[in-house]
Amino acid sequence: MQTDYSMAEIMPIVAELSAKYTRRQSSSIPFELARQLTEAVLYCIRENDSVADNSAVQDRRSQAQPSPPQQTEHAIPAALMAYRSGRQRVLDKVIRSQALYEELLANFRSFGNIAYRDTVEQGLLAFFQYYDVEFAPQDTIITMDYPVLGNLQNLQGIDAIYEYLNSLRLEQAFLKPFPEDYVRDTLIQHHRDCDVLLLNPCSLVLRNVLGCMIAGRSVASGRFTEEEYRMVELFLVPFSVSLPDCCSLPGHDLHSLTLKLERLLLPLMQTYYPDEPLLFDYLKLDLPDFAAELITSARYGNLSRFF
Amino acid sequence: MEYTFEMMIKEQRRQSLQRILSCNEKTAPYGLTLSEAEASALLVCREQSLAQNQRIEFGESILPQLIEAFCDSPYINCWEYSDVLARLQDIFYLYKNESLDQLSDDELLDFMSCEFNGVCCGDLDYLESTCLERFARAIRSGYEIRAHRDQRDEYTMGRSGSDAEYRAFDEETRWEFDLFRMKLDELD
Repeated sequence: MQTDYSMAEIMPIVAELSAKYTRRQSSSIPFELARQLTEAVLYCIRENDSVADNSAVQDRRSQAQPSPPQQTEHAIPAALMAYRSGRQRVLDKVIRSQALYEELLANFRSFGNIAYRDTVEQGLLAFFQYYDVEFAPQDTIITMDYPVLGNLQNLQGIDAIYEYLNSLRLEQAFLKPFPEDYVRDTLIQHHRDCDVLLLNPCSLVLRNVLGCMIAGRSVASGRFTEEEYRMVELFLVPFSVSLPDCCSLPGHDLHSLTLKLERLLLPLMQTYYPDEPLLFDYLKLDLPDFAAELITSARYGNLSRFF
Repeated sequence: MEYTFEMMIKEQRRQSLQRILSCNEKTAPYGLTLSEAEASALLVCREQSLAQNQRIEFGESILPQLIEAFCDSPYINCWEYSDVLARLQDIFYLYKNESLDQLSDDELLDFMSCEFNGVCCGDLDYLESTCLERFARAIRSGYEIRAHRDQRDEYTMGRSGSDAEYRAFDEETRWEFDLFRMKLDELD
């Protein structure tokens, strides 16, 4: 983790945190613990520095005194202020995450998928039980097995969980209007062992819905007819000029198809989900993969895995 | 003036040295004192020992407490005082790790000083390789020391009872008063 603060500014904070951890009953700590506490301090400082308005941070740095022994009582080092402010932000984020989690649990549907159910009902619960805001805020603790559409690999701790919860909430919001039977049929159509696989129901339903829009049929359970498959293949023709002989998918074809799918998705969001302004940006994260898989499936006559 | 990390470390070393030298006031009545060179050498040993045991000290070193705990030992003389302190320091950091940090500084120092002056009779090898090894093994297995269990008895009131603590792990047969009395009677 990079930071604008020097070791001379960070170490006294780590020292104080170490004293708190050991309840001042131990003069030394293992390297591993020191590393953990240093990461905890840097995590909170980064949390503070990541706010949109960094000018306040810069002002504090210019006004803050360095921390030699002769420092006056009232000047608080900038790093310490950043750490305290960041820790408060972490605490606030935990509270917001808990509220989000309770909202998610209230109407949660897992559609029979075990990983989905266990991650939300047990995994996330365990996170809130064991998350250590003070001494290890950077630990994510759980593995977040259920795959959401976004990439959270660069996030840690409560940041990762908060974004994960937001993703889960958006998915549940998208799936809310669909009957349980339709979603179950879509999952089973994808794979008969859908209950035990790590798959994303939101993605599969989205793809099925877009397919129905392309084929000009209403959204309902049941496989496409031959005519409807033909409609989808015709839709894909302008984006698969290089097929079937070349082995790789040209980038511009994929990009064009992705944009086309986005243009299909947007009015759907505006019509049926006017209260979820973030849902479009979230769902379109799946479209590049969907575009690639559509072209490949059309090439090998395997569109039935989607529709 | 920019306050660098190196200046901070230098200042910390200076303060540690002064603190160790100030302990001479307490240890002088026992005939034990440290010169400035010896104190500096001990601080160097401290850094080496911390690095070897993969530990870090942010504040004051353990040396002043170590000196206070062992200054009244009948087994330490002025010629080997600094060497014994260096060795005790190594043993201390080693067994902080071996006990998985489940013992506070005071608890470990108390145990070390009691056993060094008691069953070890001033033998550092016995303290390190036998006494503390057994104790640390017990701690790792879940043994809870008396201080943690809040146990007191009339013989250890006012002390932590560490001398009674080791009896639970002592594997050697030792002379006890009743046995000694019996043998004495036999001689008569």
